[in-house]
Amino acid sequence: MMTTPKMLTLNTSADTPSQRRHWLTRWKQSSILIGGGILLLLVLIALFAPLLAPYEPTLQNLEHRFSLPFWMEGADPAHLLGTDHLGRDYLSRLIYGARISLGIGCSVVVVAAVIGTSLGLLAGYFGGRVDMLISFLITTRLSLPIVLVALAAVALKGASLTTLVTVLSLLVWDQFAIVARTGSQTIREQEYIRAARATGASHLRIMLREILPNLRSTLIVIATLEMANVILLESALSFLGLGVRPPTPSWGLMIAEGRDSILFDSWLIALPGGALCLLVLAVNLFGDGLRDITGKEAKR
Amino acid sequence: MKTVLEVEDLTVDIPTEQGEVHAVKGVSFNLNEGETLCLVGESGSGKSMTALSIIGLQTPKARIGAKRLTLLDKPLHTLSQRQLDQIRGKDIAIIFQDPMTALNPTLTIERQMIEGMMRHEGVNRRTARERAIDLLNKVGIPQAAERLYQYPHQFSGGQRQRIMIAMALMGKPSLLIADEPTTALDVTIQAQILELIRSLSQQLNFSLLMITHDFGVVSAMADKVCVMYQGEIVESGTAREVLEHPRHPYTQGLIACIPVPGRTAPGSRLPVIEHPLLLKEQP
Repeated sequence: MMTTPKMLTLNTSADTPSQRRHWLTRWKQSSILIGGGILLLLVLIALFAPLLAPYEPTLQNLEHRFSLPFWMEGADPAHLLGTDHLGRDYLSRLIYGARISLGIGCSVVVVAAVIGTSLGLLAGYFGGRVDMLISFLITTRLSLPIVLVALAAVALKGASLTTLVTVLSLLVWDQFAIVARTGSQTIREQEYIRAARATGASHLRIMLREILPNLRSTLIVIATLEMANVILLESALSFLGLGVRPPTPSWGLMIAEGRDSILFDSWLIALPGGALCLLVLAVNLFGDGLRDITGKEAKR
Repeated sequence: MKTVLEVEDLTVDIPTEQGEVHAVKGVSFNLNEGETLCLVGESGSGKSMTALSIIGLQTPKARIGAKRLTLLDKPLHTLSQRQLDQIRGKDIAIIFQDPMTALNPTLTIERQMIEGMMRHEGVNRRTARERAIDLLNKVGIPQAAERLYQYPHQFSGGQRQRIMIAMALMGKPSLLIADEPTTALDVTIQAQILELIRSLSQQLNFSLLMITHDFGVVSAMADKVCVMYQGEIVESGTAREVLEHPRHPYTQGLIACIPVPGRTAPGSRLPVIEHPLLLKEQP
């Protein structure tokens, strides 16, 4: 029979749907593990920075400027990753830089999540005029170019950590608001919301205790993905000189400071750039994996 | 006998783009302590609207008017939102048609049951939990103490309706509204749930306002019946009177629609209620 060999090859081919799905699941699971692992490592490094860093990150030593990292010839064993143009230990600055990136990332996302989720809940639950007003706010926010507005705002207010966190929080709440709004629009029509009203629950209680738990997993995923965004934004602003002020070590700032020597000592840029890449990649992998997992749960 | 619910000349008007819809036009009835009243009627006859407006759950746009709408002599339709929240779930409770959607899937049964009571009566978690377990036992959920911590999807449809009933009774209401509580359940479970509601109403002595379109339910449950049609009560009386000697042609039509074994030939069509008013579209 002609069909027999064909069927055989079909059966033995590696790409049967079930096998492919299996492979996909494996990849998704490993992505959350890899991302989560790197993220955890970086968080620990940031938390224990004072114990891990061999030097003060702001300690200058002009006699030892531009000493080379360990893989190059003529490296100074006292400075594992070399020193920068002011003779500051690069490893220590990288370690402390993780604090800035993660710290700003987390605090901005928390503030933005609170703003966005409350606005979205209000809009979706009450609808009508409230929804019109908040939707207008969301569209306004979406029409603003983030980097440009952040630059202008920081330039006006003067750069400081507080300004940076405030400005960025006020610029990245939109995703939370959109998701919370659409979510609560569907959920408020559910019978169990009416049942909760019937037990005498107030509007506020229904929003916080009945609707919010339904949105929790989605909001957490958005928070991780937004965090990657914010970390990049902070670095970009610091790079442009409008974020973290020197001498505080920030990866974006380190890239900016290394810019002058890009042709001679390219590792000065490669190291903080690589660290930034790794962190953003880890957060994204983690967020993606989380989304797939919670998505699967929602479907079940 | 004490009168629990008094409704006099209740109207519900809903403004729409095509003009105002008079969903309920001057409905009046009384409900005494421990009594069961069935509101019967076809879809869109205004029976659910009547019930929902008593507990204040009508659509926000709807306007309610009444000469008298009192629960234990407290007027209901003039209450502020806050006052209403204090009465709901305590003096008055409701169970809905579809138990599959009436429980929040993301919260445990425990939380959904005890929150209202803790809020209304200011009792601590343990007291509320004890009452929840007690009620779950009463409505026939086995191993209530453990099952309290499960989520709605871990229960069957019939069990969920039992839980809804237990939840409604947490505040020891004097009036329970049941909005077609058995419509979404299969026939064998229906009878059990009806029996459960009836025995609980005798045990706990609450009045029951039951919304249904099923005269089988009426004959099993009701002391009094109000037949609603096009937003008005066309006939009312004791269950026996109405079932045995229906006077209004609409009631006669409704009763004729019940298939009777032996009388209704298999495969034949049930009678259709003919009425000129039926041609008018009802929302």
